[in-house]
Amino acid sequence: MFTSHTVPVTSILIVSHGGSPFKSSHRSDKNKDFEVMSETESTSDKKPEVSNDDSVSTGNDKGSENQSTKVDILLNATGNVPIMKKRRWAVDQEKPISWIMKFVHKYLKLDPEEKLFLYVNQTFAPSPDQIVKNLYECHGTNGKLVLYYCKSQAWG
Amino acid sequence: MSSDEPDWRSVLINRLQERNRREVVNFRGVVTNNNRLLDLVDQLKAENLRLSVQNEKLRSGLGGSGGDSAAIAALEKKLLTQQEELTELHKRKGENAQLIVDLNLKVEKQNKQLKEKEASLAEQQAVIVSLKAEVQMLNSSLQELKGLNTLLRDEHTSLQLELSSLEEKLRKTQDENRALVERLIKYKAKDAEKLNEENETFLKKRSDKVRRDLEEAARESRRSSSPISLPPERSDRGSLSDICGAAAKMTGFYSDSLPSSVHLKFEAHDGEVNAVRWSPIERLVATGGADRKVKLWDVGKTVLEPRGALVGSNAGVNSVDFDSTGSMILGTSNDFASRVWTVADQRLRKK
Amino acid sequence: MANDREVLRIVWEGQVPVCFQADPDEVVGLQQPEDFYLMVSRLSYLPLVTDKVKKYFTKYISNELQDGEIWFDSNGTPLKSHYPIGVLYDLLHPEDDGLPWSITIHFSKFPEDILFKFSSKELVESHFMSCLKEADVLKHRGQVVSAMQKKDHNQLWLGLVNDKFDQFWAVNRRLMEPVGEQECFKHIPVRFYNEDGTYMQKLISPINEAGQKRTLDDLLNDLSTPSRQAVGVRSHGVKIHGDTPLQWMSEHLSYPDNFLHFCMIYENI
Repeated sequence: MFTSHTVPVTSILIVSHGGSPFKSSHRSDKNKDFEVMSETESTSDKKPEVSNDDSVSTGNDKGSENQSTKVDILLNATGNVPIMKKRRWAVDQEKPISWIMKFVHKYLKLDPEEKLFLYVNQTFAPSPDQIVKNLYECHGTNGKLVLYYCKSQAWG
Repeated sequence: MSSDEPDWRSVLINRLQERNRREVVNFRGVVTNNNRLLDLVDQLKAENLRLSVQNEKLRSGLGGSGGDSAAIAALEKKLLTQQEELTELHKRKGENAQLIVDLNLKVEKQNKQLKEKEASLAEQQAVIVSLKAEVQMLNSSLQELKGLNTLLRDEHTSLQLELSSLEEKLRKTQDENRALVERLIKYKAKDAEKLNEENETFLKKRSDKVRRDLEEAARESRRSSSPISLPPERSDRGSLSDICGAAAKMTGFYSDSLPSSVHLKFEAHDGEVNAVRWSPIERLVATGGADRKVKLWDVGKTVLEPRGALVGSNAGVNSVDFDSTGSMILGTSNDFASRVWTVADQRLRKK
Repeated sequence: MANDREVLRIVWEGQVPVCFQADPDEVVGLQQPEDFYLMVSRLSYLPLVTDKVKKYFTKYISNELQDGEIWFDSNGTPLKSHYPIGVLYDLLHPEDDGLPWSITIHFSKFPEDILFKFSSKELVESHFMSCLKEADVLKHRGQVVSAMQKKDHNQLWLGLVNDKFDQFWAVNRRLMEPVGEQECFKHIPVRFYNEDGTYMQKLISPINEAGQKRTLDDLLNDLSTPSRQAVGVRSHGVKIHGDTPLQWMSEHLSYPDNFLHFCMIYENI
């Protein structure tokens, strides 16, 4: 993503350069997301859907006092993966990444043997037992966590 | 850095060193020893195994050279191998049985398929038979039709023959007819000649009478007046020519002269009159008009009498003509056709 | 800069004596196998050091189980093989006792609801590299690790696998330097472990608003809640002094995955 094999001084320039399009692209995404968000809000079917799948959860039952707190995540397709109709989801922040992977896998109706990779901010693959809250705290932008999913290793 | 190393760093290093002493140094030797011992145990086990095998070998070698025990052992071994073989064979038998069952199943399946095939074959044959019957039926009907066809053809030829004979007859009658007409014409001509002769004789008589009268008169005048031999001759001659002229004047009724008055006038057609023609034998006039009709008129009497209208033309009639016997009328019209009618029955004869 | 090689070296040399035992239910044959003792590096991962253990115990279990997914438990607690061994040990032994550490090796009945299959070295490697990348995202917005070449990544991994301090640090040094003119990292990659083995991750800045370096005590203050006070952290088997600056800790006390793994000590108020 960043190609800076240069001396440190110029690399600073590249830092700011590399940073700005990244942010701006997210900003341009944001408008669309809000539309999606408002749409989901009006239909208001997302909460039951998510809680229905609670049974699938791998049972990360720690911190039951803030069970209800949800975090917005944005799921982007990368490569030749089918896109999801609904990209923005509110997810229980105690859920592990593996739960989201299972959810996407199911949502896209992929074959059981098909692999799915999740990436945070197009940079690294989170551990499957990493919980959403941690990723959101460290890598969330503009009040949401941006995840990319694909069927082959992308930012391996 | 070590000169003014911060408190926390030395604490950390001390603790880490303490940790390493506790966790690593204390145990490293033990663990290495344990590992070595385990390896040694493994080695010894292997050695043990090797030795026991060797021992066995030696013992068997020993037993083979002499002693029942060795023979028994050998037999037992043999028994063992045979038993093994037996079990192997049993196993194979079981496999074979399974194979047989499988094959039987297959055969059954094949039989079923065969039966199905046969059934379909029979069906097909039935179909073929029915089709053949149909073919036969069709063939026979074809034959029938052929027969009918020849019959019809024969009939046709016979009819044609009849037609040709009839045509021949027609031609003959026509020829006869023509001959009769010719004879009629001849008679008529004779009549005319006779009439002419009569006329001539009549005229001769008259002219003779006139001459006689004139001669008488001349004799009288000669008697009465100076008889001049020449002038009377001359006058005779002149009077003759005069008489001729008078005769000519008298006969001028028939001679050509410009018509000065209309003898008859009549409305013939609904439209223009294109053609008019006298009949050569009767006092009959044929007219052709734009109303697609040819009409016949009798003008022999003082009053006009329509004799009929000949229809059949599809366009205005342009010209009409009689044949020489006056029995037929030819009319041409704007529909590119010429038609022939007979006068007697006013029918269309030919086109 | 990570130039305090004395500390780095001591940290690197940390080992734990482990007593591997077989699962009695899986053993066939009359003889229970002897326990297998091994010194394992605190910084390494279980799948990287247990080849010999596996080979040793395979001889004693039935054939059909030999290809099964291997997993370990310590006193009934399944061990997450993608955690560094030191973290696992520190989590299970809050006090300095229980040495050698008894671990039971299993060849069957993989607890899929608790553990993820990280048993192969490749999976551990990819997890390790992901952690490294995440840490670099936190420290340098991911610029250093993505500027590295594949062979650098390999050198890091092989240095860890083969316990080669110099090989590892030749590359890791670059990851442990602030980029450009900065003195500190953007954020400190750190995971705070609870007693049940789950962890919490937060954005931790090495300096405060005034630009001064923050220490562990500052961090503990931040983590305390009215009902629960964070009184200390343990890492690498030792309690860490409260005055230790965060930046220095990140540079020197991080595990090879570039994260600080802290076992939290809380006191309920």
